[in-house]
Amino acid sequence: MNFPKTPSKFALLWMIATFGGFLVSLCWIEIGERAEIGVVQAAMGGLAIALPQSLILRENIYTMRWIILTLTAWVLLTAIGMGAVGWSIPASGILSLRLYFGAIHGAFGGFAIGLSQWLAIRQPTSWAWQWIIVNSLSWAVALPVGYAVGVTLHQITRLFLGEVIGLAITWLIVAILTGLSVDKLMGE
Amino acid sequence: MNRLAKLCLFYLLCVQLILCLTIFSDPSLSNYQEKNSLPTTTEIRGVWLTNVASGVLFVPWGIDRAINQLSALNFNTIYPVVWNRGHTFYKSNTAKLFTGSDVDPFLNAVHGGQDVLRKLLKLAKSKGLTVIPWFEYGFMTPADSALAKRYPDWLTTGQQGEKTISEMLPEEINNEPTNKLAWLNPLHPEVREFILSLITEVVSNYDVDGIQVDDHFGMPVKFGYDSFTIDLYQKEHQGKSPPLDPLNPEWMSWRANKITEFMAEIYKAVKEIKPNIKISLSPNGKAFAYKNYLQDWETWVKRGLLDELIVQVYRSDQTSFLAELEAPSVKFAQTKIPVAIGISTGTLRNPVKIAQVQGQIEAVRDRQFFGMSFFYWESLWGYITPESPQKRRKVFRELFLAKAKRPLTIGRK
Repeated sequence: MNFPKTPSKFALLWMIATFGGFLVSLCWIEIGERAEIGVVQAAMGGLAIALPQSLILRENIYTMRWIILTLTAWVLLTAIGMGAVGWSIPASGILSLRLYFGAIHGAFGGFAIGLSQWLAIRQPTSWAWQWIIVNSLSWAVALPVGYAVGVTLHQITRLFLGEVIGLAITWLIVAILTGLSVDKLMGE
Repeated sequence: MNRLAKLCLFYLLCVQLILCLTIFSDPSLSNYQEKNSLPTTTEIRGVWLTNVASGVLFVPWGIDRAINQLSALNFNTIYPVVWNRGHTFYKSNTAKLFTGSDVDPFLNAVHGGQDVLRKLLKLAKSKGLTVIPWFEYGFMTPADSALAKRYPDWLTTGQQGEKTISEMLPEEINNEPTNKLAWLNPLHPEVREFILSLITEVVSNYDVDGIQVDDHFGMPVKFGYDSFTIDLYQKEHQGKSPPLDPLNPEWMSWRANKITEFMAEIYKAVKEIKPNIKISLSPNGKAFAYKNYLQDWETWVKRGLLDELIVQVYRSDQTSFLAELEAPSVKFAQTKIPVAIGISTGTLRNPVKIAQVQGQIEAVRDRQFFGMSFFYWESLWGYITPESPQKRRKVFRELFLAKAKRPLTIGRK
């Protein structure tokens, strides 16, 4: 398999693409509580993330499929009531509940995103199935951390902006963990 | 899993995607559906758009988004900033002549030279919104602004020659950092000519519904000890110098009357250009405005120099809020012109809960005011609020169920 970039540069580009995708998505998507984010916004969010990611991974994936499937994962998560993971926050301000549901929703959401994206990875790629686990674990760690930071900042500053910063931290963690993982998987 | 199975799963998910996007409506987008209902009530529902701690004028599609959302939520008036920190927010020949730049340089760079006020007017008019440009800084200007540097003799000063004063009064500061600003002398003929020229060019060159000045259209009571003002006072007082006490009633009244004279000059000049245009004022409570900024707006109302009054009542305590609404000067103004109340929706340092805003809107309606204007756009339903943007919009949607028309100026007695 040919890798166009050196691993560390590749990981960095992946992180920029993922985190940058989230920042750009804020031009169209308004962060809100779970029930306040609809499927169209979830689709726009998925698109904002999938598009730059597909440019980085283009030699290992089917680009169109990656975009459509990533977008689908977020739409389905929103449609089944789990919310647009990464753009929505829980209504509860209780820290322990946020940590608990953040981990559960993160694990499930990450699994769904990983599973969808796995379908777009070109065969034969030995690490394809591991992508599902990497995503699930990354989101299971990142989402509760972001929720906790968000609610803490929200309570201290009395500004909803705190929740937005919390989700930005979630995305930063996801970008770093998945970036380092994909880098390692490709190296192997 | 073989390739065929993966392909099948892919198509299955695509079908799911289309189904979801078709079946599940998006609550946050459906909220923006335009209602074509006719206005059923008369009420000013305004909002101030400023450049301070706000991105509305600078972020991509910021103005478009604001106008679409305000129109969809049945607001009817926008007060966009046109004069702030020594810069205009429209293409101004006067500003070019006196300051060297025809518009705020950052705004100009962000919009690639486009005239923002013209763009805003075009968007707002197409949605039926009234636009009343707001000369936010009035006579205030930063000490390092081109205006202050080019025309130091235009500035008024304190007794010790101090050229700047805190934006906030000592009792309001609460150990928070605060900007110190210089003040143009409202008594100086060249300053008057400059400010009047800014106002008249907005009225002449743009299809505006009015112009607004606010609490900064005055003079800090501690100022007025510059050589120009002292000379003028001496000329009119047989050589006597102004009292050392800035709160001396005669000295206060003399300066306040000069500002009133200038307001009359503005009224006359504007009405000569466009007789139906509104002159709007958004001051603080009368006693506060007079005591601190020599702004005698009750006299302005009596003399028929205003078409609309939006009294700023930025109080978090409901009792104090209600007391301001019941003030005799406000009651008097209500008998003369449409009076609305300025309600704070919060700032970055002082966020305001939507429940407080809701309570204040209801109190204003209960007391038969002609509506309300909110300070400011960013804190109506932006991220600098305690609740989520959608939650706050929901409250406004319920409070402003139908469109409202603005009041006509009632006949003066």
